[in-house]
Amino acid sequence: MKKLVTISLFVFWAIVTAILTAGLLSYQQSQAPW
Amino acid sequence: MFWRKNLGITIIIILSLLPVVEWLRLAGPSARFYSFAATMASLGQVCGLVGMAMFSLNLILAGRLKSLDNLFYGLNNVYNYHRQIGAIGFSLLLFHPLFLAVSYLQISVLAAARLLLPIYDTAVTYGIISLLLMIILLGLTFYGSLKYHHWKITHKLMLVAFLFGLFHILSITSDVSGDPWLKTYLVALSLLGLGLGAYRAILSYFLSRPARYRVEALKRRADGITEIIMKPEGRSLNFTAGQFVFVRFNSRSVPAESHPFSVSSAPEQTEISLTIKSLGDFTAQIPGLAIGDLALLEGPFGKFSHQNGRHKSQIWIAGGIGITPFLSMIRGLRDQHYSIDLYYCVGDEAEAVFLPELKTIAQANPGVRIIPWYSKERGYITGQAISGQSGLQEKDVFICGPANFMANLKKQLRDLHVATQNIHSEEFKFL
Repeated sequence: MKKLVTISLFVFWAIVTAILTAGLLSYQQSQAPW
Repeated sequence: MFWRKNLGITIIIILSLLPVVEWLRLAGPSARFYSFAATMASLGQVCGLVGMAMFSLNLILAGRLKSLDNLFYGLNNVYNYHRQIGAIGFSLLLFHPLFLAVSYLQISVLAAARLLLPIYDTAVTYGIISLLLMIILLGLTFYGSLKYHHWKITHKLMLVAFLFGLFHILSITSDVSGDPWLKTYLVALSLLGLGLGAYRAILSYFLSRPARYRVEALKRRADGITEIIMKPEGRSLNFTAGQFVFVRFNSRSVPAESHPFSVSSAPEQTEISLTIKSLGDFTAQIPGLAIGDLALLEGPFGKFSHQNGRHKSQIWIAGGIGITPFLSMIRGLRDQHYSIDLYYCVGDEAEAVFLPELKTIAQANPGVRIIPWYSKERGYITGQAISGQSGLQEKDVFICGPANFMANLKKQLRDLHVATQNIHSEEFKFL
Protein backbone atom coordinates (compact mmCIF):
# COMPACT_ATOMS: atom_id res chain seq x y z
CA MET A 1 0.00 0.00 0.00
CA LYS A 2 2.93 2.32 0.71
CA LYS A 3 4.06 1.76 -2.89
CA LEU A 4 0.61 2.78 -4.19
CA VAL A 5 0.64 5.96 -2.10
CA THR A 6 4.21 6.78 -3.20
CA ILE A 7 3.37 6.39 -6.90
CA SER A 8 0.13 8.39 -6.50
CA LEU A 9 1.95 11.21 -4.71
CA PHE A 10 4.67 11.28 -7.37
CA VAL A 11 2.12 11.45 -10.22
CA PHE A 12 0.20 14.14 -8.31
CA TRP A 13 3.34 16.21 -7.79
CA ALA A 14 4.49 15.81 -11.41
CA ILE A 15 1.15 16.78 -13.00
CA VAL A 16 0.39 19.62 -10.58
CA THR A 17 3.88 21.07 -11.09
CA ALA A 18 3.59 20.74 -14.88
CA ILE A 19 0.16 22.40 -15.04
CA LEU A 20 1.03 25.20 -12.62
CA THR A 21 4.30 25.92 -14.46
CA ALA A 22 2.53 25.92 -17.83
CA GLY A 23 -0.21 28.12 -16.34
CA LEU A 24 2.37 30.60 -15.00
CA LEU A 25 4.13 30.80 -18.37
CA SER A 26 0.79 31.25 -20.14
CA TYR A 27 -0.17 34.01 -17.69
CA GLN A 28 3.18 35.81 -18.17
CA GLN A 29 2.81 35.64 -21.94
CA SER A 30 -0.70 37.08 -21.75
CA GLN A 31 0.57 39.95 -19.56
CA ALA A 32 3.58 40.77 -21.74
CA PRO A 33 3.19 44.11 -23.63
CA TRP A 34 4.72 42.83 -26.92
CA MET B 1 -15.95 -19.80 5.74
CA PHE B 2 -15.29 -17.66 2.63
CA TRP B 3 -18.21 -15.35 3.40
CA ARG B 4 -17.46 -15.33 7.12
CA LYS B 5 -14.04 -13.90 6.31
CA ASN B 6 -15.00 -11.68 3.32
CA LEU B 7 -18.49 -10.38 4.07
CA GLY B 8 -17.20 -7.15 5.63
CA ILE B 9 -14.92 -6.14 2.75
CA THR B 10 -17.63 -7.07 0.22
CA ILE B 11 -20.02 -4.64 1.94
CA ILE B 12 -17.31 -1.95 1.94
CA ILE B 13 -16.73 -2.39 -1.81
CA ILE B 14 -20.48 -2.20 -2.56
CA LEU B 15 -20.95 0.90 -0.38
CA SER B 16 -17.93 2.55 -2.03
CA LEU B 17 -19.24 1.93 -5.55
CA LEU B 18 -22.90 2.78 -4.91
CA PRO B 19 -22.38 6.52 -5.66
CA VAL B 20 -20.95 5.60 -9.08
CA VAL B 21 -24.04 3.52 -9.88
CA GLU B 22 -26.29 6.50 -9.09
CA TRP B 23 -23.91 8.84 -10.96
CA LEU B 24 -24.21 6.59 -14.05
CA ARG B 25 -27.98 6.45 -13.63
CA LEU B 26 -28.08 10.26 -13.86
CA ALA B 27 -26.26 10.16 -17.21
CA GLY B 28 -25.14 6.98 -18.95
CA PRO B 29 -21.64 6.10 -20.20
CA SER B 30 -22.32 7.56 -23.67
CA ALA B 31 -22.98 10.96 -22.09
CA ARG B 32 -20.03 10.66 -19.71
CA PHE B 33 -17.28 9.44 -21.99
CA TYR B 34 -18.04 10.97 -25.43
CA SER B 35 -14.73 12.89 -25.74
CA PHE B 36 -11.28 13.04 -24.17
CA ALA B 37 -12.16 16.07 -22.03
CA ALA B 38 -15.48 14.52 -20.93
CA THR B 39 -13.72 11.24 -20.11
CA MET B 40 -11.12 13.04 -17.97
CA ALA B 41 -13.83 15.03 -16.18
CA SER B 42 -15.84 11.85 -15.57
CA LEU B 43 -12.83 9.96 -14.23
CA GLY B 44 -12.16 12.91 -11.91
CA GLN B 45 -15.72 12.73 -10.64
CA VAL B 46 -15.58 8.96 -10.14
CA CYS B 47 -12.31 9.32 -8.18
CA GLY B 48 -13.90 12.00 -6.00
CA LEU B 49 -17.09 10.02 -5.34
CA VAL B 50 -15.41 6.69 -4.58
CA GLY B 51 -12.51 8.32 -2.69
CA MET B 52 -14.85 10.25 -0.41
CA ALA B 53 -17.07 7.20 0.19
CA MET B 54 -13.99 5.12 1.01
CA PHE B 55 -12.64 7.75 3.39
CA SER B 56 -15.98 7.91 5.21
CA LEU B 57 -16.10 4.13 5.49
CA ASN B 58 -12.51 4.13 6.68
CA LEU B 59 -13.40 6.41 9.58
CA ILE B 60 -16.21 4.01 10.44
CA LEU B 61 -13.75 1.09 10.37
CA ALA B 62 -11.50 2.94 12.83
CA GLY B 63 -14.38 3.17 15.31
CA ARG B 64 -13.28 -0.08 17.05
CA LEU B 65 -16.86 -1.40 17.08
CA LYS B 66 -17.69 -4.86 18.37
CA SER B 67 -20.06 -5.39 15.42
CA LEU B 68 -17.14 -4.84 13.01
CA ASP B 69 -15.16 -7.50 14.87
CA ASN B 70 -17.86 -10.01 13.89
CA LEU B 71 -18.48 -8.63 10.39
CA PHE B 72 -14.79 -8.71 9.40
CA TYR B 73 -13.96 -11.92 11.26
CA GLY B 74 -11.68 -10.19 13.73
CA LEU B 75 -10.82 -6.59 14.56
CA ASN B 76 -7.27 -7.15 13.32
CA ASN B 77 -8.77 -7.71 9.84
CA VAL B 78 -10.70 -4.46 10.26
CA TYR B 79 -7.44 -2.58 10.86
CA ASN B 80 -5.72 -4.32 7.97
CA TYR B 81 -8.56 -3.29 5.63
CA HIS B 82 -8.49 0.18 7.22
CA ARG B 83 -4.89 0.60 6.05
CA GLN B 84 -5.62 -0.67 2.56
CA ILE B 85 -8.86 1.27 2.04
CA GLY B 86 -7.21 4.40 3.45
CA ALA B 87 -4.36 4.14 0.94
CA ILE B 88 -6.69 3.46 -2.03
CA GLY B 89 -9.14 6.21 -0.98
CA PHE B 90 -6.31 8.72 -0.56
CA SER B 91 -4.87 7.84 -3.99
CA LEU B 92 -8.29 8.28 -5.62
CA LEU B 93 -8.71 11.67 -3.95
CA LEU B 94 -5.27 12.70 -5.28
CA PHE B 95 -6.35 11.78 -8.81
CA HIS B 96 -9.70 13.61 -8.46
CA PRO B 97 -8.29 17.13 -9.14
CA LEU B 98 -5.69 15.77 -11.58
CA PHE B 99 -8.26 14.33 -14.00
CA LEU B 100 -10.41 17.46 -13.68
CA ALA B 101 -7.40 19.71 -14.35
CA VAL B 102 -6.47 17.66 -17.44
CA SER B 103 -10.05 18.03 -18.71
CA TYR B 104 -9.75 21.80 -18.20
CA LEU B 105 -6.66 21.82 -20.45
CA GLN B 106 -9.10 21.56 -23.35
CA ILE B 107 -10.33 25.05 -22.39
CA SER B 108 -6.93 26.59 -21.60
CA VAL B 109 -3.78 25.95 -19.61
CA LEU B 110 -4.68 28.91 -17.42
CA ALA B 111 -8.10 27.43 -16.59
CA ALA B 112 -6.44 24.14 -15.58
CA ALA B 113 -3.87 25.95 -13.42
CA ARG B 114 -6.57 28.05 -11.74
CA LEU B 115 -8.42 24.87 -10.72
CA LEU B 116 -5.39 23.83 -8.69
CA LEU B 117 -4.99 27.14 -6.85
CA PRO B 118 -6.95 27.89 -3.67
CA ILE B 119 -7.88 31.48 -4.57
CA TYR B 120 -10.57 31.48 -7.23
CA ASP B 121 -13.47 29.47 -5.76
CA THR B 122 -14.44 28.83 -2.13
CA ALA B 123 -15.70 25.29 -2.79
CA VAL B 124 -12.47 24.38 -4.61
CA THR B 125 -10.46 25.99 -1.82
CA TYR B 126 -12.12 23.69 0.73
CA GLY B 127 -11.15 20.73 -1.42
CA ILE B 128 -7.55 21.89 -1.79
CA ILE B 129 -7.19 22.51 1.97
CA SER B 130 -8.60 19.05 2.65
CA LEU B 131 -6.22 17.40 0.19
CA LEU B 132 -3.15 19.30 1.41
CA LEU B 133 -3.90 18.37 5.02
CA MET B 134 -4.31 14.73 3.98
CA ILE B 135 -0.99 14.83 2.08
CA ILE B 136 0.83 16.22 5.12
CA LEU B 137 -0.81 13.91 7.69
CA LEU B 138 -0.68 10.73 5.63
CA GLY B 139 2.85 11.63 4.48
CA LEU B 140 3.86 11.67 8.16
CA THR B 141 2.06 8.36 8.69
CA PHE B 142 3.69 6.59 5.77
CA TYR B 143 7.15 8.19 5.67
CA GLY B 144 7.78 9.68 9.12
CA SER B 145 9.06 7.41 11.87
CA LEU B 146 6.54 8.73 14.39
CA LYS B 147 6.16 7.60 17.94
CA TYR B 148 2.81 5.98 18.67
CA HIS B 149 1.22 8.96 20.43
CA HIS B 150 2.38 11.36 17.69
CA TRP B 151 1.00 8.99 15.08
CA LYS B 152 -2.33 8.96 16.92
CA ILE B 153 -2.45 12.79 16.88
CA THR B 154 -1.90 12.85 13.11
CA HIS B 155 -4.74 10.36 12.70
CA LYS B 156 -7.05 12.45 14.88
CA LEU B 157 -6.24 15.52 12.78
CA MET B 158 -7.43 13.60 9.72
CA LEU B 159 -10.92 14.46 10.97
CA VAL B 160 -10.20 18.14 10.23
CA ALA B 161 -9.05 17.25 6.71
CA PHE B 162 -12.17 15.17 6.26
CA LEU B 163 -14.36 18.04 7.50
CA PHE B 164 -12.98 20.31 4.78
CA GLY B 165 -13.71 17.52 2.29
CA LEU B 166 -17.30 17.51 3.48
CA PHE B 167 -17.51 21.32 3.08
CA HIS B 168 -16.21 20.82 -0.47
CA ILE B 169 -18.98 18.30 -1.25
CA LEU B 170 -21.66 20.55 0.24
CA SER B 171 -20.56 23.72 -1.57
CA ILE B 172 -19.39 22.54 -5.02
CA THR B 173 -21.73 22.63 -8.00
CA SER B 174 -21.73 19.09 -9.37
CA ASP B 175 -23.82 15.96 -9.85
CA VAL B 176 -23.81 15.62 -6.06
CA SER B 177 -25.44 19.00 -5.50
CA GLY B 178 -27.94 18.30 -8.32
CA ASP B 179 -29.05 14.87 -7.14
CA PRO B 180 -30.73 14.64 -3.71
CA TRP B 181 -30.09 10.89 -3.39
CA LEU B 182 -26.38 11.18 -4.14
CA LYS B 183 -26.02 14.17 -1.83
CA THR B 184 -27.93 12.50 1.01
CA TYR B 185 -25.93 9.29 0.66
CA LEU B 186 -22.51 10.97 0.67
CA VAL B 187 -23.37 13.44 3.43
CA ALA B 188 -24.91 10.71 5.62
CA LEU B 189 -21.89 8.45 5.10
CA SER B 190 -19.53 11.36 5.84
CA LEU B 191 -21.41 12.37 9.00
CA LEU B 192 -21.45 8.77 10.21
CA GLY B 193 -17.70 8.55 9.60
CA LEU B 194 -17.09 11.91 11.29
CA GLY B 195 -19.26 10.92 14.26
CA LEU B 196 -17.52 7.62 14.81
CA GLY B 197 -14.11 9.21 14.18
CA ALA B 198 -14.84 11.89 16.78
CA TYR B 199 -16.12 9.23 19.18
CA ARG B 200 -12.95 7.18 18.86
CA ALA B 201 -10.62 10.20 18.92
CA ILE B 202 -12.18 12.13 21.80
CA LEU B 203 -15.48 10.91 23.24
CA SER B 204 -14.50 7.30 23.93
CA TYR B 205 -12.27 8.53 26.79
CA PHE B 206 -15.42 9.71 28.56
CA LEU B 207 -18.17 7.45 27.23
CA SER B 208 -16.66 3.97 26.89
CA ARG B 209 -16.90 1.66 29.87
CA PRO B 210 -13.78 -0.51 29.91
CA ALA B 211 -13.39 -3.33 32.40
CA ARG B 212 -11.32 -2.17 35.39
CA TYR B 213 -8.50 -4.40 36.57
CA ARG B 214 -5.66 -3.94 39.07
CA VAL B 215 -2.15 -5.25 38.54
CA GLU B 216 -1.84 -8.09 41.05
CA ALA B 217 1.52 -9.56 40.10
CA LEU B 218 4.33 -9.01 37.65
CA LYS B 219 6.45 -11.92 36.49
CA ARG B 220 9.62 -10.77 34.82
CA ARG B 221 10.74 -13.51 32.46
CA ALA B 222 13.91 -13.83 30.43
CA ASP B 223 14.29 -12.22 26.99
CA GLY B 224 12.62 -8.93 28.07
CA ILE B 225 9.23 -10.55 28.64
CA THR B 226 6.88 -9.42 31.41
CA GLU B 227 3.75 -11.31 32.40
CA ILE B 228 1.16 -9.01 33.97
CA ILE B 229 -1.47 -10.71 36.11
CA MET B 230 -4.49 -8.54 36.80
CA LYS B 231 -7.49 -8.95 39.08
CA PRO B 232 -10.91 -7.52 38.12
CA GLU B 233 -12.53 -4.68 40.03
CA GLY B 234 -16.19 -5.39 39.38
CA ARG B 235 -17.07 -7.03 36.09
CA SER B 236 -14.53 -9.29 34.44
CA LEU B 237 -14.08 -9.81 30.71
CA ASN B 238 -15.54 -12.91 29.09
CA PHE B 239 -13.18 -13.90 26.33
CA THR B 240 -12.40 -16.86 24.14
CA ALA B 241 -8.89 -18.31 24.30
CA GLY B 242 -6.75 -16.57 21.64
CA GLN B 243 -8.56 -13.22 21.65
CA PHE B 244 -6.93 -9.86 22.34
CA VAL B 245 -7.85 -6.76 24.32
CA PHE B 246 -6.93 -3.09 24.22
CA VAL B 247 -5.33 -2.10 27.50
CA ARG B 248 -4.61 1.34 28.95
CA PHE B 249 -2.69 1.60 32.21
CA ASN B 250 -3.12 4.31 34.79
CA SER B 251 0.42 4.24 36.06
CA ARG B 252 3.26 6.60 36.93
CA SER B 253 5.72 4.83 34.69
CA VAL B 254 3.65 3.76 31.68
CA PRO B 255 2.00 6.23 29.26
CA ALA B 256 -1.82 6.22 29.31
CA GLU B 257 -2.07 4.89 25.74
CA SER B 258 -4.40 2.15 24.55
CA HIS B 259 -2.55 -0.78 22.93
CA PRO B 260 -3.71 -4.23 21.77
CA PHE B 261 -2.31 -7.40 23.36
CA SER B 262 -3.34 -11.05 23.23
CA VAL B 263 -4.62 -12.46 26.48
CA SER B 264 -2.32 -15.24 27.66
CA SER B 265 -4.38 -16.66 30.55
CA ALA B 266 -7.09 -19.31 30.31
CA PRO B 267 -10.65 -17.95 29.93
CA GLU B 268 -12.00 -19.61 33.08
CA GLN B 269 -9.44 -17.90 35.36
CA THR B 270 -10.67 -14.92 37.37
CA GLU B 271 -7.38 -13.10 36.84
CA ILE B 272 -6.37 -12.07 33.36
CA SER B 273 -2.77 -12.20 32.12
CA LEU B 274 -1.02 -10.25 29.41
CA THR B 275 2.43 -11.38 28.34
CA ILE B 276 4.36 -8.52 26.77
CA LYS B 277 7.84 -8.35 25.28
CA SER B 278 9.82 -5.09 25.31
CA LEU B 279 9.93 -4.30 21.59
CA GLY B 280 9.01 -0.61 21.30
CA ASP B 281 8.70 2.69 23.16
CA PHE B 282 5.53 1.67 24.99
CA THR B 283 6.36 -1.96 25.74
CA ALA B 284 9.80 -0.94 27.04
CA GLN B 285 7.99 0.87 29.88
CA ILE B 286 5.92 -2.17 30.89
CA PRO B 287 8.47 -3.58 33.39
CA GLY B 288 8.04 -0.30 35.33
CA LEU B 289 4.42 -1.10 36.22
CA ALA B 290 3.69 -1.36 39.92
CA ILE B 291 1.42 -3.68 41.88
CA GLY B 292 -1.97 -2.01 42.28
CA ASP B 293 -1.76 0.05 39.07
CA LEU B 294 -5.12 0.41 37.33
CA ALA B 295 -5.62 -1.25 33.93
CA LEU B 296 -8.59 -0.41 31.71
CA LEU B 297 -9.41 -3.25 29.34
CA GLU B 298 -11.53 -2.91 26.21
CA GLY B 299 -12.66 -5.97 24.30
CA PRO B 300 -12.29 -8.82 23.78
CA PHE B 301 -11.71 -8.80 20.03
CA GLY B 302 -10.53 -11.21 17.35
CA LYS B 303 -11.40 -14.63 15.96
CA PHE B 304 -7.98 -16.25 16.30
CA SER B 305 -8.94 -19.28 18.34
CA HIS B 306 -8.64 -23.03 17.96
CA GLN B 307 -12.39 -23.11 18.59
CA ASN B 308 -12.93 -21.40 15.22
CA GLY B 309 -11.01 -24.09 13.33
CA ARG B 310 -12.79 -26.55 11.04
CA HIS B 311 -10.85 -29.55 12.34
CA LYS B 312 -9.86 -30.72 15.79
CA SER B 313 -6.56 -31.87 14.36
CA GLN B 314 -4.52 -28.67 14.34
CA ILE B 315 -1.03 -27.27 13.90
CA TRP B 316 -0.13 -24.21 15.93
CA ILE B 317 2.97 -22.23 14.91
CA ALA B 318 4.28 -19.54 17.26
CA GLY B 319 7.13 -17.20 16.32
CA GLY B 320 8.75 -15.71 19.47
CA ILE B 321 6.30 -13.63 21.49
CA GLY B 322 3.59 -14.85 19.08
CA ILE B 323 3.24 -17.66 21.62
CA THR B 324 0.85 -15.51 23.74
CA PRO B 325 -2.52 -16.46 22.16
CA PHE B 326 -1.41 -20.11 22.14
CA LEU B 327 -0.62 -19.84 25.86
CA SER B 328 -4.24 -18.88 26.47
CA MET B 329 -5.50 -21.67 24.20
CA ILE B 330 -3.33 -24.39 25.69
CA ARG B 331 -3.79 -23.27 29.30
CA GLY B 332 -7.56 -23.44 28.80
CA LEU B 333 -7.62 -26.63 26.73
CA ARG B 334 -10.09 -29.02 28.36
CA ASP B 335 -11.38 -30.86 25.27
CA GLN B 336 -9.36 -34.11 25.01
CA HIS B 337 -10.49 -34.63 21.39
CA TYR B 338 -8.07 -32.06 20.05
CA SER B 339 -4.85 -33.26 18.43
CA ILE B 340 -2.38 -30.39 18.45
CA ASP B 341 1.21 -29.96 17.31
CA LEU B 342 2.56 -26.70 18.71
CA TYR B 343 5.73 -25.45 16.99
CA TYR B 344 7.46 -22.99 19.32
CA CYS B 345 9.89 -21.14 17.03
CA VAL B 346 12.62 -19.11 18.75
CA GLY B 347 16.29 -18.36 18.19
CA ASP B 348 17.64 -20.76 20.78
CA GLU B 349 16.67 -22.60 23.97
CA ALA B 350 17.30 -19.52 26.14
CA GLU B 351 14.52 -17.70 24.27
CA ALA B 352 12.03 -20.56 24.74
CA VAL B 353 10.78 -18.95 27.94
CA PHE B 354 7.51 -20.89 28.16
CA LEU B 355 8.84 -24.29 27.08
CA PRO B 356 8.88 -25.89 30.59
CA GLU B 357 5.24 -24.91 31.21
CA LEU B 358 4.16 -26.08 27.74
CA LYS B 359 5.87 -29.43 28.26
CA THR B 360 4.11 -29.87 31.61
CA ILE B 361 0.72 -29.20 29.98
CA ALA B 362 1.56 -31.61 27.13
CA GLN B 363 2.40 -34.37 29.63
CA ALA B 364 -1.09 -34.09 31.08
CA ASN B 365 -2.76 -34.00 27.66
CA PRO B 366 -1.81 -36.84 25.26
CA GLY B 367 -3.28 -34.96 22.27
CA VAL B 368 -0.74 -32.15 22.58
CA ARG B 369 2.80 -32.29 21.19
CA ILE B 370 5.25 -29.45 21.80
CA ILE B 371 7.89 -29.09 19.12
CA PRO B 372 10.54 -26.47 19.90
CA TRP B 373 12.25 -25.07 16.80
CA TYR B 374 15.55 -23.22 17.27
CA SER B 375 16.36 -21.18 14.19
CA LYS B 376 20.01 -20.69 15.20
CA GLU B 377 20.47 -24.47 14.92
CA ARG B 378 18.04 -25.46 12.16
CA GLY B 379 17.32 -22.25 10.22
CA TYR B 380 13.84 -20.80 9.89
CA ILE B 381 10.97 -23.25 10.03
CA THR B 382 9.47 -24.20 6.65
CA GLY B 383 6.15 -25.55 5.48
CA GLN B 384 7.97 -28.60 4.17
CA ALA B 385 9.44 -29.33 7.61
CA ILE B 386 6.00 -29.01 9.21
CA SER B 387 4.44 -31.20 6.54
CA GLY B 388 7.11 -33.87 7.12
CA GLN B 389 6.65 -33.90 10.88
CA SER B 390 2.92 -33.33 11.32
CA GLY B 391 1.25 -33.80 7.93
CA LEU B 392 -1.03 -31.10 6.56
CA GLN B 393 -4.07 -33.00 5.32
CA GLU B 394 -7.40 -32.22 7.02
CA LYS B 395 -5.79 -29.89 9.54
CA ASP B 396 -6.21 -26.28 10.54
CA VAL B 397 -3.00 -24.29 10.83
CA PHE B 398 -2.80 -21.36 13.25
CA ILE B 399 0.15 -18.96 12.92
CA CYS B 400 1.15 -16.05 15.13
CA GLY B 401 4.45 -14.21 15.05
CA PRO B 402 6.34 -11.44 13.22
CA ALA B 403 4.72 -10.26 9.96
CA ASN B 404 7.42 -11.68 7.65
CA PHE B 405 7.41 -14.99 9.53
CA MET B 406 3.66 -15.34 9.01
CA ALA B 407 3.70 -14.16 5.38
CA ASN B 408 6.47 -16.63 4.43
CA LEU B 409 4.82 -19.56 6.18
CA LYS B 410 1.39 -18.81 4.73
CA LYS B 411 2.82 -18.71 1.21
CA GLN B 412 4.68 -21.98 1.76
CA LEU B 413 1.57 -23.65 3.16
CA ARG B 414 -0.55 -22.51 0.22
CA ASP B 415 2.15 -23.84 -2.13
CA LEU B 416 1.75 -27.17 -0.30
CA HIS B 417 -1.99 -27.07 -1.15
CA VAL B 418 -3.27 -26.18 2.32
CA ALA B 419 -6.68 -24.56 1.74
CA THR B 420 -6.73 -20.84 2.52
CA GLN B 421 -9.71 -21.28 4.85
CA ASN B 422 -7.64 -23.74 6.92
CA ILE B 423 -4.87 -21.17 7.52
CA HIS B 424 -5.53 -18.79 10.41
CA SER B 425 -3.17 -16.01 11.36
CA GLU B 426 -3.15 -13.21 13.87
CA GLU B 427 -2.03 -10.17 11.91
CA PHE B 428 -1.86 -6.89 13.70
CA LYS B 429 0.02 -3.84 12.57
CA PHE B 430 -1.04 -0.25 12.28
CA LEU B 431 1.20 0.69 9.36
